[in-house]
Amino acid sequence: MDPSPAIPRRRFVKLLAASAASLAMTSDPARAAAKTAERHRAAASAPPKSTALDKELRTEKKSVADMLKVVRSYKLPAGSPPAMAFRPMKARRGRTS
Amino acid sequence: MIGEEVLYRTVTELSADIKARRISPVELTEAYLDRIHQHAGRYNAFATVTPDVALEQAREAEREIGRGRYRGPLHGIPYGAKDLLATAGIKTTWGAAPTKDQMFDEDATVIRKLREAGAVLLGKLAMVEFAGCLGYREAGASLQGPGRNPWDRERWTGGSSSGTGASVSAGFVAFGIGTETWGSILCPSAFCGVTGLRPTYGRVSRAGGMVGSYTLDKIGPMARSAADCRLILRAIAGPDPSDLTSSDEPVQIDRRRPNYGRLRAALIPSDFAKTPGAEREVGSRFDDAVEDLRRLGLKIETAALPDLPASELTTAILYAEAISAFEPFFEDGSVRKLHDPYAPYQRDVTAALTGSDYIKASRMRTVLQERMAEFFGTYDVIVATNFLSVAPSIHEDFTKTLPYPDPVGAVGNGCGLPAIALPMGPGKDDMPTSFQIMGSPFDEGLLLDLGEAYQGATGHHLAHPPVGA
Repeated sequence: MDPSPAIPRRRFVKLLAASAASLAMTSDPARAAAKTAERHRAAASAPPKSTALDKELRTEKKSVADMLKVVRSYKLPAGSPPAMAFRPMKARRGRTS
Repeated sequence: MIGEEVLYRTVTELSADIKARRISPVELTEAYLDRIHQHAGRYNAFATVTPDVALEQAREAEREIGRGRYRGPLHGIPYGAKDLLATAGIKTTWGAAPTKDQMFDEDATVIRKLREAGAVLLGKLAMVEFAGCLGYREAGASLQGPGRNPWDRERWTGGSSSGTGASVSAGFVAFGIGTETWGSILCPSAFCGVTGLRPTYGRVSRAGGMVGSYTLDKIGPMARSAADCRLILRAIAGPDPSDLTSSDEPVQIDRRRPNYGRLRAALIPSDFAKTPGAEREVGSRFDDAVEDLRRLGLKIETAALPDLPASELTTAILYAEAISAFEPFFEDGSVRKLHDPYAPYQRDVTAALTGSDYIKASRMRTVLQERMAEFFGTYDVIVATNFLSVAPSIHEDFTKTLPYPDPVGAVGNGCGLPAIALPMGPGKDDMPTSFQIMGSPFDEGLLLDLGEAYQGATGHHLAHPPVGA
């Protein structure tokens, strides 16, 4: 398999196109470790934040915190239903018993 | 020779001419391509123009119609699709640098359905990068450049369906396909002065479309009239095995001519005097629109939406789903190629949002949906403002030029409700203004009936900008 990050992304794109909700990822430990290192390198090479950007990001984080405060403090009625239905798998076909 | 006035005709008019063989689909397509070639670049309206595909489809339409095989009202009609809908063999950029060369093997379901209806694909339309789902605050947040408004190139088209708004408004296409997660059909419809329909969540298959938010994304038509939106919706609506969230509710959108005197509308007022950024001219046009609807017989009374924090819950859902959907671009660092300087930090900005917050917001949404179901037990539709101001400058930060909240959009998108954006006449500096009628789930037919009746009485939808002047 091509270890380049473009492959999982292409897969991801195809899954998005099919409205699927999961991303198939490699389970190879060596490759996973390489990806983690690559991520760390990417994070380390992130552009330095300017003062103005930093200030704006603090404002945005405050806005998210305010939004979360509202969501978390909202009292749901007891027995409030779940929002999403986890659907059972389909029964295996062709069983004789 | 096809003149400009033909390119501004509605689909309804063009299809009658095509069916009667008064207009050739090939000549019509060539005329649109000429216009695109001459003017579209000035508005950053297209991501990709597809002349070869368009002419091939137009020739096929002409052959079929000549043989008496008329497929229906979109046969031979040239259109454009927002560049987040997959098209086999044609780039699909999602408006973003990290995906600028992206190709797919198959057409999105909507593209396939339009092809089967005989529509002619002129090209892929520009859009805000990743449909704005990682946030944006400048018109320049697009691979295709700032969406320039055909009514005034120094103003924004609105987004994220920027190219669809510009192209319908400027007569580059007969109709366009846009998408909305939260505002992306209604906003460019308002700023560009076109008619846009946001269908019910699940009404139109999203298979082959970019996912910005799994439970908020919708695909819908943007066109020159409500009647056109009906024709387009009929072609693209319906269940699709490729999209598990598409609904099998019957597509009942035929024109009904309802007795408007028996319909009750809830008017959700906006405070134009106290809301920052709101323009009194838009308020006046909205008052006029409400009176026009009353003259049609509609009973309109002031009402309030259910008292739930719709903006907060919908925002929480959008953040969580968008961060998940675009995770690969954060992981490989390519998110830093986006034009918006804040988007690369969005995962950090929203890091406080937990899994249980997402579940809680989703459960709150279920309560909101129940309350809205009760609301629609009393009212048939909601009449509300769309944007409170006309299109802002492309040079300014939207947090400053568009500072007002969108409570109706929060409820509508949070609950997946349909809405139609209708032009309501000129506002400040003669720029277009718009209002919306929102309906109960899968009641697009009623919104279209009301839209047609309003447009028949006012004609505001017929105004178009002086492109090329």
